[in-house]
Amino acid sequence: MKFRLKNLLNYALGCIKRYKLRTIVVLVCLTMAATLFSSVLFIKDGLVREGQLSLKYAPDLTVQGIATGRQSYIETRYIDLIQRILGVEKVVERIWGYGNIGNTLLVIIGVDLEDPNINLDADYPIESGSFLDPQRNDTVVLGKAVAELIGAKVGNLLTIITESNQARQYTVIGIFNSESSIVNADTILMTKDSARAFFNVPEGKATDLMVFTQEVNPAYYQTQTSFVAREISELPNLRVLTKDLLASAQETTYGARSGFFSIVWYLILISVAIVAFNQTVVVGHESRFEIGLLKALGFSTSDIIQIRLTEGTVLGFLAGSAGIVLGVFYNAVLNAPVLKDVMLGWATLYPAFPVPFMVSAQSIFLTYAITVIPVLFATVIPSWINATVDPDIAMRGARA
Amino acid sequence: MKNRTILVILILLMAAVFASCASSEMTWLNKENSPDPLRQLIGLPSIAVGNLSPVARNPGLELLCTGLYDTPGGYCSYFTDGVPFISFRTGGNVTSVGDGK
Repeated sequence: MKFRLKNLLNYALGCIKRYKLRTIVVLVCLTMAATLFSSVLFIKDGLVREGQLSLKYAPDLTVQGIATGRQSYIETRYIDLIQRILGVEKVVERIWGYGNIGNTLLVIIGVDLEDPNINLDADYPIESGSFLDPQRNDTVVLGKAVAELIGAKVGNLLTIITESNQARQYTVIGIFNSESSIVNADTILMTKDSARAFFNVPEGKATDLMVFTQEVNPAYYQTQTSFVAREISELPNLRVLTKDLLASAQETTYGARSGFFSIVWYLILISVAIVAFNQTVVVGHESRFEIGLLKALGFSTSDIIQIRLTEGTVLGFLAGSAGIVLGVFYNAVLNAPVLKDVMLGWATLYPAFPVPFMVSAQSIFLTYAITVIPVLFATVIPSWINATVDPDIAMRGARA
Repeated sequence: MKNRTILVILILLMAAVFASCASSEMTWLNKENSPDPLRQLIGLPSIAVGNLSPVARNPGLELLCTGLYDTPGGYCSYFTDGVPFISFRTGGNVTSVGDGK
């Protein structure tokens, strides 16, 4: 039995070498398709996971002001009203916004250093310099990639033109290197007062409010959050975003983007399957004599199907594995050119950053499934048709 | 090329695939389990869900927004309604009055 299987395997591998043109066509086409497909999946998984990580630290509820159907500043008088709602732990005002430096869109965040809940001695990932100091206004801490982008070092004076066309100067007192490449690439931290002045946010208003709910049994978390959200929704000119809503927005955004590429990939896959099927049919015709001969020598139909099954499986796994390895190389080493722009919205505003990617077991399984199964169909069916024909007729037919 | 060479290439490639998968999963697990005071401080769910971030718009809309900024019907500054927690007693937030003649 063992020798029989070994012989069948050897014969199948021999076929891969014998039909060189078919092998090359199938391998090249499937590898290219698998590379594209796996790259999209890896980037999508990485971006979604990165978002989930950020959401882990996000407030339970984010409350924004709405005016004329658009987001506007929120009045800080709401803090007291929200604080009184049952289940609310604390409400923190936040000032943040986007700032253009050159052609790059960066996120500028004001940190409330007077908030007793903020631990200034925490283990922030500061690479050089120090963290924000409550005694020093007009200072900034930059993400590592931001600092590299603008060529800033600790001690440098940074001049930024604000939306109100004022030139404001800030001293760089620290550079952080977060584990998140996105945060590193687009974040500038300054004190809350500096951010208020930078964005010209009037006193008594804020960009949004962070609402943290009280710790409860996880089973009741959703109920509590919904209750608080409903109570806040009763207040005028507000909208409430929950963590779940933000998570599903992210999923939809990247899911749709990856879905768009999946459709392109499916088209490629269909073309590949047709090419593979065509090649196999041609080879199937050429190997009809061979199959007839094998049957005359005592090979059964199932032996022949096993040979083609082994051949197809090896080809599919070879192409899938090569595609995945190239996909990892494309993301990790080349930083996903072209695909990154598509997945991030084709915007040219973003700072350059290493795109987060994740090689998940699910993506690998999916890539293998769609490289192996079409090849199996394309190889096993024609050989099964050939193998069911009488050997004498098969050999005569092949010679005709 | 010997038959064995094909098998060796296949095994090496698959080993590389599973090694990269294991390494990636471990890295993300470590990230998840280690505390991140910086993210805790800023509490911002990154550029990906910023409301004005063009990342959330589709490419066609993005061209429109870049070219014309926000025109009526451009929805460049359009937001979802957030969580629909209020059930309006009127059956919606639009009320029509009159007989329509």
